[in-house]
Amino acid sequence: MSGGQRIGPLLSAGVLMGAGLGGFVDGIVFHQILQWHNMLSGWLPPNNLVDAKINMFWDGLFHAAVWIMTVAGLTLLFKAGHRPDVRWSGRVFSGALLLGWGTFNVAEGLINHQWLGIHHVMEYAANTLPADLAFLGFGVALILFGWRLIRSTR
Amino acid sequence: MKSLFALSMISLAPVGALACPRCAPAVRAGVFNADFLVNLVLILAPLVLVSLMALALHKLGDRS
Repeated sequence: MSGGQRIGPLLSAGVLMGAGLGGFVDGIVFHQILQWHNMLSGWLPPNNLVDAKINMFWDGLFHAAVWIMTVAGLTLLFKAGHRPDVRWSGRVFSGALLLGWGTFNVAEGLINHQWLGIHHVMEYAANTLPADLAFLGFGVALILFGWRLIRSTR
Repeated sequence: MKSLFALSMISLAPVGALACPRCAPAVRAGVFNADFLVNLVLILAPLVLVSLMALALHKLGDRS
């Protein structure tokens, strides 16, 4: 099962699953447990029940989307497992998971936090920038570590 | 795998219930308005980017 040479199918599966699971970490930890922000809290602060429920709706759509990504990644992983030309490497898959999670953090951080400001990591802090930068930095670190793991198998 | 996808879609059916008449009118108006599509695109944009990257890695990942 590990005799193949191709890693592309394992990379795509890992990246999708990593981004999906990373999205769940964001949603569960930051939106629900810590309640540091919601999906649209930068534009529509949840200061009353109606606005909180509107934010909750968009949080739900986000969770639905990352759930679909996770299922898509799982599907690709299952298919990759049946292909004799795919190298079945735990390091490649782990690296791809980290690469996907990190890419999600960077894309989310740049687009939603920095560019559009639909929310920030610590919405209710006096200065939202440090936490946003930490989120971005963590994403970059995940990408670099994931990439290094993948390259270490070459 | 097809049944897995079908199950995924069925499980997401509650999302469709958002338009249900029992939903508080103020919430419904706050969600389903002129900004609905814009908000949807903005929220999904990072996920679409990651998906495109996964597609590229699927095709080109063996060349790097």
